[in-house]
Amino acid sequence: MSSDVYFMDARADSVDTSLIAKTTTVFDAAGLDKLVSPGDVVAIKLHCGEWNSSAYLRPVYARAIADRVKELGGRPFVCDTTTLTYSPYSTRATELDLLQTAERNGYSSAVMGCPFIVADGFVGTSDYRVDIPEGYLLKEAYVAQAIAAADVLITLTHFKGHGMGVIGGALKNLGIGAQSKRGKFNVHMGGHPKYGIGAVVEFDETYKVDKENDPEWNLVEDACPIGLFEIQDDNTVKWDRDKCMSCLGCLGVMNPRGAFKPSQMLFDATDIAIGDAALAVVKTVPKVGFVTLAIDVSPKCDCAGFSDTPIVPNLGVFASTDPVAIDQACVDAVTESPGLPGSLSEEMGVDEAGERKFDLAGAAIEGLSEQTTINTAVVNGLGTRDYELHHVEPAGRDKFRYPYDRRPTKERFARMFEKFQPFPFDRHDGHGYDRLPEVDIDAVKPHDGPTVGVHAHSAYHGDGTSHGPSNGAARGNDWHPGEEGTRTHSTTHDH
Amino acid sequence: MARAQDMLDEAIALISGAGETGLSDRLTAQREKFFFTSLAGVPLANKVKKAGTALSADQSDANVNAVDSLVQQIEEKADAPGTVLT
Repeated sequence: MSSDVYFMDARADSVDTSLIAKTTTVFDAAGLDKLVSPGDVVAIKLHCGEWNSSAYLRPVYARAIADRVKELGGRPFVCDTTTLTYSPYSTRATELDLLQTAERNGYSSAVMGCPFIVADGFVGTSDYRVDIPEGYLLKEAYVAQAIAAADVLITLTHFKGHGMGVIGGALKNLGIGAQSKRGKFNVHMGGHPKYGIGAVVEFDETYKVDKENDPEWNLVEDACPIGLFEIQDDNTVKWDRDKCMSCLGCLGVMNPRGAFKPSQMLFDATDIAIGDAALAVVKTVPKVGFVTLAIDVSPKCDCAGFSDTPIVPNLGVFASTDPVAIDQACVDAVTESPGLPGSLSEEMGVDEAGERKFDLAGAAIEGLSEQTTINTAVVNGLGTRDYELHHVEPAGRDKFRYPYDRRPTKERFARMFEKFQPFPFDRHDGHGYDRLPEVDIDAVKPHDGPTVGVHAHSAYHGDGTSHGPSNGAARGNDWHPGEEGTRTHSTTHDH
Repeated sequence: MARAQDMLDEAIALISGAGETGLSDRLTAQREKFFFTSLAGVPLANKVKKAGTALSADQSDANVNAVDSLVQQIEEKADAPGTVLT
């Protein structure tokens, strides 16, 4: 049996074909509006972006969904969760970090029109444990409390690549993004006897910290939040690997220094676990829907502190009630698309239409698969790779008009213009402004520069003239808005 | 062998064959780093391979400088702690 996936492309030429309008149009087309009953608490889960990343979803998409939820009588909130420690550069590791990063990235309650909250609490331990006997690898998961408590979850996803997950889609938004920090340790194989970092990483015990030439050598000892690295007197490093939580805080420090040789097995196991943890979320929240924007498809995730050139052109927006089908549809769309010239897809040699992009342009190491998480979520019964893609028509311009004032122009502005006429009808014979009657328009159109000479002027003085205050005002600069005469030629009222 | 290491080896052979052993030795020193055992180093490995090909055909100062510039970029990036992983 196949699932339905609803799609609108990224092209736009009217208000109802703007991506914002399309986001709510596919939301309705996929039946996600029917998930929301009056009074429902609706969690809108998204990735608010790391500090200095720039490809994360613009907040207006979440605002549009939140507004739609409110129209339906629901009570929305927008949320993200705390991350693992990741690296010395983590900027969403605590609620305080996350709120400050989210605010800088434009995610605030004022912008959303509803609260923006951290769903797993201050240090990421507010969660709800879920048994998942159906899981391929995981048998339990820890869903962020605010998401677990909601009546409805709308998973609003920015589709992109990911160094470890290979793709960042709806499944990852659930299997990582909707897990608490405690849940993320689980998914990243913390403490796992075969797949955890402590078990699988090849550690060079002869590696010595180079205190003379490495200005950041102290990062090695400080790379672990529970202090499992200890620099010895001979500058070798002792690592208490049996206690490793797989927080990933050390990888960015130890890998480049050659002290660690990362294991593909850790990455593969994590990608599998994402599919299982995603199932736990769907089992926990009564009603779940998915909206995914495949735009700004950066090769690495929004959890990096930068965003590279997208690997494909903007594709559009998808919606479904099946997270597996929607991820597969996005992967297929990226595969079918030509790569963007000058992007990592070209540099990796996967820029032809029909070539899989993320295995090389998303993954951090070779051998990972953009299908691992998707296939796992098929195996555990979360969804299906088979889908029918429905191309949705625009919903009509009237639906997307500016909501705060729908009056026609005269009704809206006449009284305002009577009081504060912005056009200076009293000047220049009613033409309003000091302008030449005619110029050679073609003279400034040539692509190799203008065909008329440059108008010479002396230095500017900050008062609107190039003569300076003591030399008298420039031509026509003796009148300013608000001075006598600005109201005397109102179009509708003679003072 | 990792994809980036493979490209880097070709670059090293080309640059060494063009008589620029100083540059090829600097690349060899980077070969085992995570940057080249992961996919992160593929774009720069590819670029230095192409620059090495040009150098092999024409040992002009411009081509030597192009390789030197890439070797410097590699030396900087290969040790950067912010290598993306997750």
